[in-house]
Amino acid sequence: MNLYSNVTMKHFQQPQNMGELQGDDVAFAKVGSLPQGEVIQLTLQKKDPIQKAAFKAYGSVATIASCSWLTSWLEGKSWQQARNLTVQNIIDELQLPEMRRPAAILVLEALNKALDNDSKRS
Amino acid sequence: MTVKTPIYLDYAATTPLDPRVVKAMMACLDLQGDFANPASTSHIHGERAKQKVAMAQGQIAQAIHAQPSEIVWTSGATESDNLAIKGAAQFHQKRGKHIITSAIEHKAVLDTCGFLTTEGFDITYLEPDGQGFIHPQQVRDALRDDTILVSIMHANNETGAIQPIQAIAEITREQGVLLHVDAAQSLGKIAINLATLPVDLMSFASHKVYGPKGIGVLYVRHKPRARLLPQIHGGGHQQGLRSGTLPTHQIVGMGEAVAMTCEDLPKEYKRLQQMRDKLWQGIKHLPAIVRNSPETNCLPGHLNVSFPTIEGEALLMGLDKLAISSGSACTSATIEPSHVLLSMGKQPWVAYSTVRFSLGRFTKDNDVNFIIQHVCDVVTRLDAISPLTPEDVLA
Repeated sequence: MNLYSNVTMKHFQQPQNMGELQGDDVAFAKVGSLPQGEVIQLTLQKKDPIQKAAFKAYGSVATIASCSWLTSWLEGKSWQQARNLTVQNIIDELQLPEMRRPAAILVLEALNKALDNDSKRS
Repeated sequence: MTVKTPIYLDYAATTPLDPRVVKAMMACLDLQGDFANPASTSHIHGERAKQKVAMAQGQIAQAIHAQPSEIVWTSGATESDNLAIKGAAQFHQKRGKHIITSAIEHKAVLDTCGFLTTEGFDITYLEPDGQGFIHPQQVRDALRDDTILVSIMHANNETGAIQPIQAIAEITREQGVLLHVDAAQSLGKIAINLATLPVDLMSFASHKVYGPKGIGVLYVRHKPRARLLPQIHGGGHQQGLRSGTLPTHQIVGMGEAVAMTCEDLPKEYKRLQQMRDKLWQGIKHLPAIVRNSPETNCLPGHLNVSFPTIEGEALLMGLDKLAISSGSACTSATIEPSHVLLSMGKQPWVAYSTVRFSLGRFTKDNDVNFIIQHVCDVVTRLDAISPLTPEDVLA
């Protein structure tokens, strides 16, 4: 019955790095919308390599688990490594079903937006 | 005291069989039992099966204060709805082709009405108020010279809202228009007295009252006579209204189940209502919670709530110690928000984030303490992950 892999369910049930980083050296991104059914807020330290990332998410199990996985994965990665992450990497790592591809796309959009740091806090 | 999880809280979807029902059904299956065709009255086996069917007919009739000859066996409430609506519409179409129903009906009624539009019928869908109620005045206002049928449910399956059927029935009777009522959810939960309720056609299901699936009843009033065109032909069983060999074991099971459930009704009503109210008291403080079940005129075991800061799938998967139903009809690729909640004016994201708790005979007071704790833990955890505030979702 369960669509999801054990790794996805573990991240969903015990999400890592939940919350929001504060301070001037924090890159911020918020993507998605309520009618769309997914909202992701991502914060990460601007240091290269990345020391810490945090998230908040409204969305499916796939969305929450992908955010948890991403923020854990980001620790210790260079900005370039983060830039090179693909939607398929997220899908493969979490063994997401094809119908949840949009969740992985939005998570990557949040990451790239935070890396661009072109999002102002609202 | 330990609680066995997941706790079954989906009694509005279906119920397990009562052990006494199983026993009664088992006595109708093998050579030693009453297995024969109730229409084969040329031998004792058939005669005994016929007697069992008659007894079950009497049990149903007694429970709803009707005559045994007004009970027509079907395969379930969906077939009863089909027979009532298509049968009445096709029989009376020379008088008019207008039907009134409501936007909160079960799909068995909505899809049947939808089908009739392909045969030239015109359907009016009454919209509920914010609490999920249809008002008798709406029915009166929608009646036309060519209206031949009104179909309004007794209690809503999602919210539990009990519709003002007595007042609606008095209007339709006064106007000489047939009234069909889908009572799949209300049977055994609230009293039904067809001696004083002027309803012409009423649909019932066995599996919502601890009886077997695959059997239901359509009540067809004799005085004044509700006329229908049969939908299943082949043998002229049941006064020609519904052909097919009668499934004695299913019928016996439904008869026993309805008799027992209706006998327990007053006590069980109070018990379920107390547990439902306790559950609500225990969770009503949770962030952004929306109660979709009405505070009054609601089935006793129903509680439909939304947690709109949390997405529906995450909510349902988070509440993994409970066997509950969401407010959405899920298919593999898409999730449709509940048509009932949308018609009540709820925002789509509120409708998506909905769970329906439906309590039943095997729910214990001790379970409710566990349910409250689990819901509070999961909702608090998922709300803390959400970037949305109550203001964002309830604006």
